[in-house]
Amino acid sequence: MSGLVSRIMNNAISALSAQQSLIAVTSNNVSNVDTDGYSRRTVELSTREGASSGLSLGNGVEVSAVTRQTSSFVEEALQETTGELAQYEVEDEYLDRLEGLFSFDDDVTTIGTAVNDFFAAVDDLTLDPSSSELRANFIECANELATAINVTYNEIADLQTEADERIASEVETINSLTAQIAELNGEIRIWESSGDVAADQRDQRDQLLQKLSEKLSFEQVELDDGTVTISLADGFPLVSGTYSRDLEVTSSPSFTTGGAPSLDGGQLSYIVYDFSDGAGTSQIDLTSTIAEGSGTLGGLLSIRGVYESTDTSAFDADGTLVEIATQVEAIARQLLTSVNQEYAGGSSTTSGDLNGNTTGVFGLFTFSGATDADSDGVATTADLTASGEDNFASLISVAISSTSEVAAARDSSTTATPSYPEGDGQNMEALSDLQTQDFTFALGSYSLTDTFSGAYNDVVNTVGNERSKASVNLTVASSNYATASQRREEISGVSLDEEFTNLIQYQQAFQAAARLISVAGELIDQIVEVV
Amino acid sequence: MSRITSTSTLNQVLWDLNSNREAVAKYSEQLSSGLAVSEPGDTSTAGTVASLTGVLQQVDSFTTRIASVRSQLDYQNDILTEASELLVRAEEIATQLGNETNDEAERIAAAEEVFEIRDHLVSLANTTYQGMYLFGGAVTTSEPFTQDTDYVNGSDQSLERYAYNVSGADGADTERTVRVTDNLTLTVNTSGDEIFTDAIVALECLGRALQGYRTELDANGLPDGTGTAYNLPDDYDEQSEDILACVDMLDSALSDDIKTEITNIAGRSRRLDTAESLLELSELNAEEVLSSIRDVDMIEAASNLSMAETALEASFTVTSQLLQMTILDYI
Repeated sequence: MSGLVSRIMNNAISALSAQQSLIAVTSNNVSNVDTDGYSRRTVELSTREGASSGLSLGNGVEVSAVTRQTSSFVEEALQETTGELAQYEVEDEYLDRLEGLFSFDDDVTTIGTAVNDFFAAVDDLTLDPSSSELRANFIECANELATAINVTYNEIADLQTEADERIASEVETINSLTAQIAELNGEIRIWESSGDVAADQRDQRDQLLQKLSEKLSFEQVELDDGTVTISLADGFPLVSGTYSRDLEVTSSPSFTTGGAPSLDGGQLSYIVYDFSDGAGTSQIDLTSTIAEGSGTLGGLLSIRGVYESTDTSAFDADGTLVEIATQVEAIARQLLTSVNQEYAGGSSTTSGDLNGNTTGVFGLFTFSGATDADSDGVATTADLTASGEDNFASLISVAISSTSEVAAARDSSTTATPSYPEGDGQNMEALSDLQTQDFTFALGSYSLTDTFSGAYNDVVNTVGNERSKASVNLTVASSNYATASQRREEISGVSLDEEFTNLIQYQQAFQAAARLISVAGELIDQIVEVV
Repeated sequence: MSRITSTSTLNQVLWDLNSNREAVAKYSEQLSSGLAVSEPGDTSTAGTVASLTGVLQQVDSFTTRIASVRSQLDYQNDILTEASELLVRAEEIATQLGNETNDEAERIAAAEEVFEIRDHLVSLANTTYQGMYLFGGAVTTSEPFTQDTDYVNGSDQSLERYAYNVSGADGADTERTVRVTDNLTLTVNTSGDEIFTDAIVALECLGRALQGYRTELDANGLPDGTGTAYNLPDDYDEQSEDILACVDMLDSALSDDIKTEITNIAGRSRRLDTAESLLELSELNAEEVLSSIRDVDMIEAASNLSMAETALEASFTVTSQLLQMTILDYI
């Protein structure tokens, strides 16, 4: 009999302890209702097994497990959408900053308005070539065009440099994240080797994985010992077990001698891993792999451009900013060649200014160091190449500054001393024809046959398309991210309704168990009285 | 049944609030600017918008240039009309004095008027327009017609001939061509040599004949100063014939040179008119297309805005109610 009473007592005590565990877990859930990355815990109860002899009257209850409510599929879906969101946010941000350069606002000077102004100044000058006002206007408009190209190109190049610098700081963050994940891997392995679940560490690790997915795309595999292996799409392992590999950013990696030229004439960085142990460098290139993925790095690289080993100039790199800069550069190069050729008198005549000077090779648009390298008397692509420069859009300037230096006149005679009357506007008339003429704007993989205005319109088209693509992608990514995070919340989030309903239930169960103890006590008292 | 937590409710409510706010901001911006498209990313046809705004900018500058060309041509037309009136007057004098009986003194007096007419014509030929000599070809900063000091006839300075581009500067016959639309260029000047030289020579011949001198012309068709004096009254008839011959010269100068140029200018003005109406047409077209892409449909934007505002207010109401609801109030 006393054995039974003590069994009742034991059962009641197991119930009290179980209910307290339930209430404790509930309180933990409630406390962490707003904690990022927290997965709600649930307690699994089971009947306690006792020594079986005769009839089974039961041995009470025990806590068999505290479980994190989480789904690896949902976590991975969330990581994926986080990565895409971060990628498109970056792309959208850069294109938003870029598109102002190509505004449709009438008050904004763009390359397009400058091209039109330039040709209008040419045409105005044909009406009265001797007018110093119109000559001054011609020089001013030529300067406006050169400046518009400089400003636009430099702004694009600056954005590229900025993206490049951000890549370096993102890589640092990634290294710190992978190091923390490796450390947590270690803790989880030790903790769980004894059969427990390292719930808090797993929460933290999930959250770090989430942060990592914001930076770049990766594959993850959880091993039996609880550690997670993280590798890039090409299989390069970032974290395995308790080891993490630090990525590096360098502009002069061991696998290439030339480096990757940037739009501003500097060098782009590569994201590499160094296999050597301090002695020398033996780096492998991870840039392209990371660029193909999502995350901030994927976005920054697709904006900045990725330079392949077969590329030979800054304009060969594959990226949005490079694509747009290439088109602007193609316009600058056409001004330096075709427009200069025509300004110098075209193929069969010479042109000259009011001082009687015959126009030189880079007579209108020039750059520091411009010379007729092949001595053929005209400004050609070969001369540009020979100068050793690459980014002419950033260098282009106007060769003349005084009104008397404007070569409006032409002389088709073959006399030793050609003459250029002040009222002769034939050179401007020829220059005016260029506004309706098609040219082939080709650079890198870009090629377009159109007028100068048409070439600018094509740049605007590219910018517009890239920007609307980025906006649409961003909208879709935001909505996907919201869905995925709602889905995670659905599974792992703490519901106060649920917790408080449970709490009342547990409290009542606790009271019932307590009552059992008092009943058992009364039973013992009665037995004592009988005795 | 899916689990709804307070966090997910909150997130949903915030998401809705945010998108409603965005909608309100977007439509108010559209209404206040009148533009649905102000930057390339706002449209899928950014290239078209850029090309249309480019067209409008060009039309603007072409229109301004057409106005300048027109005013220059109108000015030339006024000058040539005045010149043709002068020649008509000279013809009258020549006809009158060549046919009627009149004495030497009357003819000499008439010669004075003829030389005045010539001087007037020369001053018309030397007209400047905004500081530029209109009829000097590419030589626009010095007078196209000046007295030729190589040719002296006695002591009377007025008898010195006027010749075109005496200094022999290059480019005196160069024409200026101006682009007035994408595909139309227009010549805006003709050298004064073509327009005025014959008339001036005719007037000089007439003046000399009235004054009592024959006129011989050099290889260039200009008086060479070797003409001898008439022996009056014996040569009276010859003098009258020479005077009447000048009527023909004046007449051909008037109809072949000056009136032809007036007709040319009228033709150019008509082409300017055509160009202008073509420009207006392309401006209208460009504006229409641009407006359909770029401008906001005000009624639509206003109704969108009011819908977005209603939605935002509804979100506020829902949010405040949702946020206040907690199970804690009931247990």
